[in-house]
Amino acid sequence: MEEDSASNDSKEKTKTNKNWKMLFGAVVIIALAVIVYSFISDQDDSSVPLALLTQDSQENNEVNLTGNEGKIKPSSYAVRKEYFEEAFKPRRDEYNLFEKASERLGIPLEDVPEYFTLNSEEDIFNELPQVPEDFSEVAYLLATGRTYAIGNLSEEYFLQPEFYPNFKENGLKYWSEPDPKYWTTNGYGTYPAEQFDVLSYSNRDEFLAVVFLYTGYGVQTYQGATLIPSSGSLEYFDITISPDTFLLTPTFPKFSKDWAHQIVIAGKLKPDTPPGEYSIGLLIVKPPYEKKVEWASKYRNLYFDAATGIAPSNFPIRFTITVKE
Amino acid sequence: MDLRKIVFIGFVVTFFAVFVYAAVENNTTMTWVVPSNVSHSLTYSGACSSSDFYFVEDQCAQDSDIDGNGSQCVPQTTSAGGTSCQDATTIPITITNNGNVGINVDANFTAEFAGADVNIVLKVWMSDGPGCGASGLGGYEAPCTITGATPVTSTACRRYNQTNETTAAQRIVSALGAGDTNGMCFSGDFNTSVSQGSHAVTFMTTSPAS
Repeated sequence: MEEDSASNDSKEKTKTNKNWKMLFGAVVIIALAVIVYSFISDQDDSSVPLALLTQDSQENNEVNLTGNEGKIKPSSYAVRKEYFEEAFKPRRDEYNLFEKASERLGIPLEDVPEYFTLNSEEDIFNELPQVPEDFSEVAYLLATGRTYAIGNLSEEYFLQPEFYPNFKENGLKYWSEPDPKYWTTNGYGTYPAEQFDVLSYSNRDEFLAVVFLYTGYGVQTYQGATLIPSSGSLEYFDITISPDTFLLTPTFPKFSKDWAHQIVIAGKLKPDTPPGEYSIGLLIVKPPYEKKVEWASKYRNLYFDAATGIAPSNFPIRFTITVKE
Repeated sequence: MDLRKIVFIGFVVTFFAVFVYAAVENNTTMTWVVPSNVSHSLTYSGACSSSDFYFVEDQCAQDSDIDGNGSQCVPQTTSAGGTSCQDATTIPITITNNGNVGINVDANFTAEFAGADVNIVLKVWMSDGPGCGASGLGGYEAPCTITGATPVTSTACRRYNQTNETTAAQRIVSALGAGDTNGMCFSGDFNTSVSQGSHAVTFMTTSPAS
């Protein structure tokens, strides 16, 4: 009996020890998980040295990064967070576009709204959504290559023209330096235009990309477009594009609500694709005939195909895919 | 099962769980260093546009009649002549780089000139800044001297005619920097004999090689 009692006590102690050990093990596991997750979440920071290097190289030419004529510099802010908030911040009340137009055209300021067929300078942006509070920080993250998670960015972000690098340098002049001798009929932009990925048969053989495709600055027309992969791309990848046919609406004299689109491109390795480096190119071509007829009858003299005789020579959207075993 | 095994197995399960969770957060798989923004705008003068760009024989500077040949013909707004889109202070087509990377501009026709179109000639040169040179023909040459991958200049043109191969893109503008603008000037000539009527040909950029 005593032996049984002692045996039972021993078993109880062993069981209790095991429970404590399991509890300790669970705590260790959770702690490690937190550490690992924190490391992964901050993994973009591993690119900080590169991003900072890029930023430093840009500081000598900050116009390209902030599009703000170099007036906003990191060195102007003791608190760097404030710089990130200001760098891409739309300052539409400071653009003074109509004042500049008045001076350039030699007409009274009060005549400028009518010249642009608008009621006020604010009308230029009044069809766009409200600018989010963190807009500048998000745009800065993307512009410096510190975030790749752009699939979840809503229209509130990518419909703001200040989201795109160099808008303030190259886009505002269509209002501040108008020339009535000319009109802009075609043009588009893609951002980010060039992207990279690594696929393998042993791990991930599919890619998913997002590109923002938008009407060029100053364009007064409606442009129908279809995106297709180049024939060379389809030899090694199955590719889907959504949406693949769309209408780019005007950005002049004001930004219309469909001037920018979020394009999702998914691709999968074909079975016999050997390891190596591949270049996928997407082309802009004419839309299907029925869509062209629909848009042309609706917009008449203001409808054009986005694909024109003269355009940049490279693919508007390019992916470099490294395929490994 | 001792403590070490418990910790190891649990760690493996949690490790992959964390990676899966992190992957779900990043919903695209692509990366870049500094994202490139490739953007351009095409501007036309006056009432010209990509669909309103005519070369009319009886508006040519040389041999302006309707016998099927003529040269130094600047673009017009309508097939009946209309208004000229090009002169010393007017550039018919301007391309502007609104992105943050330099671009090249290539162009060619989608089909070789053949049949009734075989004697059509298009000449392209760069504007001199304010316009296209004296009488809008500053870069006109007979024959054009620019060939191959050399971009055109304000005083030298590239020729497109029946001998052009459609698979080879021809360089129009080279290394147009971010924010820069380049004007293009044109002459549509009627060589030897071109039949009466409309000869519409499509001037397009060909598939880029890189």
